[in-house]
Amino acid sequence: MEDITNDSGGTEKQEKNKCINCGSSWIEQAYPTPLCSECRQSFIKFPIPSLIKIFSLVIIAIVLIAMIRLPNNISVGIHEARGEKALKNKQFLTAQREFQKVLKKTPHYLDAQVNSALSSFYIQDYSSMLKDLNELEGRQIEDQNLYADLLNATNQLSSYFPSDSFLAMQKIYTDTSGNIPVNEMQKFVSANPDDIYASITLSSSLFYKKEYLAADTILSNVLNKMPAHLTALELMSTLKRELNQFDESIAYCNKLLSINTESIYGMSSKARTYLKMQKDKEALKLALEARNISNDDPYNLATLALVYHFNNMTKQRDEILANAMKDSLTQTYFEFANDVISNKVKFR
Amino acid sequence: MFFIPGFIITAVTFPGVIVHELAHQLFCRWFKVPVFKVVYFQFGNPAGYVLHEVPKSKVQTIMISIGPFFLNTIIGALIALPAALPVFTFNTATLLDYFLIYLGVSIAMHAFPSTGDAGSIWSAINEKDTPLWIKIIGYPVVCLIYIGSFGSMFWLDLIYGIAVIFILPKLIIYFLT
Repeated sequence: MEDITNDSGGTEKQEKNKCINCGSSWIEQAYPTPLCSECRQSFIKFPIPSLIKIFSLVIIAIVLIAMIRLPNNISVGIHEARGEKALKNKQFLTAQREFQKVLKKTPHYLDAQVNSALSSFYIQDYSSMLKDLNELEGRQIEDQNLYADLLNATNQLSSYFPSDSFLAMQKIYTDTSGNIPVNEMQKFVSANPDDIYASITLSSSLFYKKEYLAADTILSNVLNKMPAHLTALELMSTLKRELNQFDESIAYCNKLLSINTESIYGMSSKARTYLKMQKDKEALKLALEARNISNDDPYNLATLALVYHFNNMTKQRDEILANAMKDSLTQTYFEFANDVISNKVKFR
Repeated sequence: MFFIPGFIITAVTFPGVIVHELAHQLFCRWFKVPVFKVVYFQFGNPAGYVLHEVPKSKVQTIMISIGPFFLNTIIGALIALPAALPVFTFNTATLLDYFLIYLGVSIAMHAFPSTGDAGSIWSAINEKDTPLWIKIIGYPVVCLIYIGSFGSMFWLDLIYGIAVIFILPKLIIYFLT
């Protein structure tokens, strides 16, 4: 493969001052090869064979096809890179969003599916996680680190769901309001000390009954067994706030944020603790930061309503409350905020 | 390092040879340099060549010689780019993706100018009337071509072809994120 320069046009014998192609005397001077104007032009436009023209057209067509496919694949690559970066920074909400975008365009991309499942676990979106795990069933994960991470998450998953025996008890004891009597739950937890879900449900019930110290003991036991249990950490951050142990409450929020830097609950709960500590500006900053990450999280919106209330931003507070009234699902999250705003409950 | 006869590699990657020779011809046409013969592909050494007049300008000589480097690299990259991610990253490649990778690598790996191309540049820059700045550009180019030619014994041309399609998408994504 090369270009070969030729001073004489390739003919062995040539008459000087005559065109080497047609023999014309009207050669163009100042060129190394004696050629008349017409022949020079024809050699400049040396014909490209039809087969090569067809080959070139095929190549151009392939380039066009490739160009059509390029934006889609580059966009998947960008979302994948952003997801990886978010995972590295423990920004699991962003990571899940990015990997979901990747999977929308390349549904069979295994690593994205695993990373999406992992991200869903850390943001406690268990339905998405189970959907991803179903898709992964029967598929071989070659990346051992990724496999270990997924295994670790799936092993923890059972502690976020009721066991069969818990469900059986629930079926027997559920009262008319849909709750299991606390004493029955206490009996169950005593008999099944390793049932994390039951322990957390019990501590939650005790919390709502304002039996904070009993709830604290149970949650501490849970955290001794599983120091990174997200629900236990969330409850602890709230519980410590109610016990006016603000530094401890913030420590649990920080623990949540060290696991997932985009933990909306961690940020919102910390904002509520700041409110109790009369640090209203810090609370506002944090609650708004959480809303920038996720603008439809009901716990954060209820927190924001409280934060606006204590920062005397009544217009913004009322806007959030009005929007919450439209959605029956978010109303339960706003009960406490409404009680505080209407002075039914003394918050601080 | 295992040995595969060059003619087999050349035969398998013939689209790259054709694009390479076509690039020489198109650059000649662009600079209005008469072309006397073009062999786009043959089973032999060289696998293809373009016989043309010595251009009046030394810059044209260099450009005609290294033109395929740019054209083969750009076309190879454009063809293989969209397939590189499904093949190397996503593991979701289809037959079309593998074909695009083959074609892209075939074309990109023939981007390197040959020692014949280097010879043309060498003769041009060694002429008395060649300006110094062309010599400053020309000598390293000739040197790089010979390094590339030597490296092709160790699959440097194939490594270059794969690098173009493997690294380029990563770079694009890196700069876009």
